[in-house]
Amino acid sequence: MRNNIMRLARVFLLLTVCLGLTSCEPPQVYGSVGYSSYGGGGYHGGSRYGGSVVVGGRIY
Amino acid sequence: MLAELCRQPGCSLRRTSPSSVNGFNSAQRHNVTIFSSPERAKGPINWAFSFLKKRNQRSNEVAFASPFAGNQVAPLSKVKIQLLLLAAFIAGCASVTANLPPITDEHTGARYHGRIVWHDLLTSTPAESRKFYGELFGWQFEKPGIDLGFGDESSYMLIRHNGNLIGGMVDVNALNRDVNISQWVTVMSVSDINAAVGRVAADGGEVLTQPTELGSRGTLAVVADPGRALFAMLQTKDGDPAEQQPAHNEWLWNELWTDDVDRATTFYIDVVGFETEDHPIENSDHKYRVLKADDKPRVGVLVNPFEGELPVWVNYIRVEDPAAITARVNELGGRIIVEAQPRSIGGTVAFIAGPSGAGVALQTWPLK
Repeated sequence: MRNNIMRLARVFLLLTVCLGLTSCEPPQVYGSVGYSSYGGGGYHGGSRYGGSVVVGGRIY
Repeated sequence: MLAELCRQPGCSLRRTSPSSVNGFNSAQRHNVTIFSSPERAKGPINWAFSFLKKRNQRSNEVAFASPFAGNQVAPLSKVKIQLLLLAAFIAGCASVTANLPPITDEHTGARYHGRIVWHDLLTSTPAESRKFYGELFGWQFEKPGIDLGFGDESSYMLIRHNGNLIGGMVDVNALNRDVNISQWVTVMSVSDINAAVGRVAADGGEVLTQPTELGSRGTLAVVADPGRALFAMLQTKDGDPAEQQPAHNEWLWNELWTDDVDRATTFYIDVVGFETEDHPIENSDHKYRVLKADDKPRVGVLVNPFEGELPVWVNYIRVEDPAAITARVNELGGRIIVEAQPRSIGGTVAFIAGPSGAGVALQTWPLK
């Protein structure tokens, strides 16, 4: 019984070490994105565009 | 190397399914290669590493059957074995790759080069974004796996509509950026991502994230075109979603707004491979350019209707009534950039932004 508990403790310790080493973060494939076209006041609409904007869209 | 180690009779390698990896929550799911053998019943350590050790019944020593030394058996102390196990475990952990679920529940095995197959929302306001898109379009957000209670809420969520996978949401607060990078990322399918990414820089673009393996999802790279419009390319592992007509409140179309249509077109032709088809725009000197692959229209390109703004990929959601949507945008924390307007060729469009500032367009379909 005691041996089993010790074994489980060792497994838990190993898993803890592993999780720490791998940082357990989600993939940061977007971590290098440094801007957004919508940032810095972009595309805020209103009178800035004079109300004459015609956007696109699917045509067929 | 693991395969070489596991050559003893009864020992086999298997890769766990994501849902069966106990101890990892949704943000921590990885591919974990484990060993399976008849000695599994003897206990966790014996089971997991039984291929490595054979207990000597007479003493407290352990014999290590080296796969590189034929049938020779060298005695090793228990401490050494444990150190070896720890090293093996750490090496295994260090080499695991992030595993995101595929972009479709069906393994189609088909890739549609040049088609937009996925959308990821980068948002600085995930809770507000969930409410915004959930209430406006009936989208559901879910963690990509089981949550066993480790850590805080996952920074990545899947988006479904009526059970269909339609996108992902990334909490950019987890990326520790100094600026708000909230936006929808348009993800384009490519059949050879390394070749495509290899052409980006030569054609005036920029590679922001080199091809990165994401397990079941495939390999993804984030790039910007010469106008700095950001998009991603994905080589799926098991295939792209099957082509079908979009349902209401799902993605309908994708369009690049840019300053220089010709330059952008050249870039996308060189990097991805498209054919072009120009259509006149009523009361305008400009053309609406359709980029086609496999003789199918994939994306549109037009001169940015917003003078002075940065080029951007714009994603259209098919809706029944854009005006009904825009009527609720402000109360849900978004804003209206372009009110619902009729199109000269039929139908209605609008352009809105969610709580984080990421823009998205609305369009009725079919044209009528």
